[in-house]
Amino acid sequence: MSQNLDLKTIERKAFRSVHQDGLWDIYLGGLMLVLSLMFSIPESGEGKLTTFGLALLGVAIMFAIFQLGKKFITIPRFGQVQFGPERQKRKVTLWWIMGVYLVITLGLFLFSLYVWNAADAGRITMSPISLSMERMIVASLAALISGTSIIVTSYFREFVRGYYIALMMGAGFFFTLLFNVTTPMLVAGVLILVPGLVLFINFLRKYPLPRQEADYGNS
Amino acid sequence: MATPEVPASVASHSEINRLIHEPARFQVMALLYVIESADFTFIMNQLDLTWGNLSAHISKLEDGGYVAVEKGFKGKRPQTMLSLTAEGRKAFQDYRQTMKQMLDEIPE
Repeated sequence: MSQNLDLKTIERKAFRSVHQDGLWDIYLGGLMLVLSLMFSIPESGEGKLTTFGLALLGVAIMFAIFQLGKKFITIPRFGQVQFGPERQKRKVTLWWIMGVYLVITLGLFLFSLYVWNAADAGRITMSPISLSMERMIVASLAALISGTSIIVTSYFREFVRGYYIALMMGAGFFFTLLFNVTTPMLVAGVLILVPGLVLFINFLRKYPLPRQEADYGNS
Repeated sequence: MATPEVPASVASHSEINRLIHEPARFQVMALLYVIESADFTFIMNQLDLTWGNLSAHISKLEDGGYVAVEKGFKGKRPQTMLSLTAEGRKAFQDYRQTMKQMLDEIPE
């Protein structure tokens, strides 16, 4: 093996090691569970707004748990690292791609709202489309967006478990929206969350909190 | 009595940078070479070294001017960020070159 290859391996090993705390899995699994709860609340009248608000609150709570976990649990135990310019560039590229995903998702959401409201008000006439076909289109789009966004993230962050998570999320969204039942999303959430929790417990065992006074030059 | 021919680069093994040549210090240098900076805890975990061991090696590398040590606080916890200096980066490149050359010239 050449020296160059060895150095690349060292860098890759260091880069990939930051995902071993299981927090990404917990965050994404938790997100699926929160969204499945949202889907289980019946949609009608003011309840729709409450459901949407609750979902947003749940997403915000999961994100807060992820960020606080990284800050107060992972970093003190595992340490902090700044990777080289190549990785920084990839990080910026990923942010741009995720921005595009966000715009597409918001665009689709707003477009759907407009079409549904306009159709309800009789301003536009929609070509007859069966309910099952409509569900199929919505389910496919949701699965495509959620699955591919996680695949892209996993590729850029070299997060190998992310491909499994993408598959679970895509399938969860697809079957939940297609059959209008929350079980697939709930199962997907559990299948993502449980390995994350196992990893997290192993991480805590493997990396205990170092003694504060033992820091270099402060002992 | 004929003595076996020794390649010139092997004969000049005294040119090897002893500060980097020690296995643990080589690992520290290699890790810092491929990243921008890291704190003490990260390096310790990556290389499976103890606090005392790593501390001793970092002291030597710092004294040699190869590693820059920046002390600060992250919240209430002390945090020591480490990175390679320009001199350290150059020394590591030279060390790799020397070792590669030497190993290439060893007869089969």
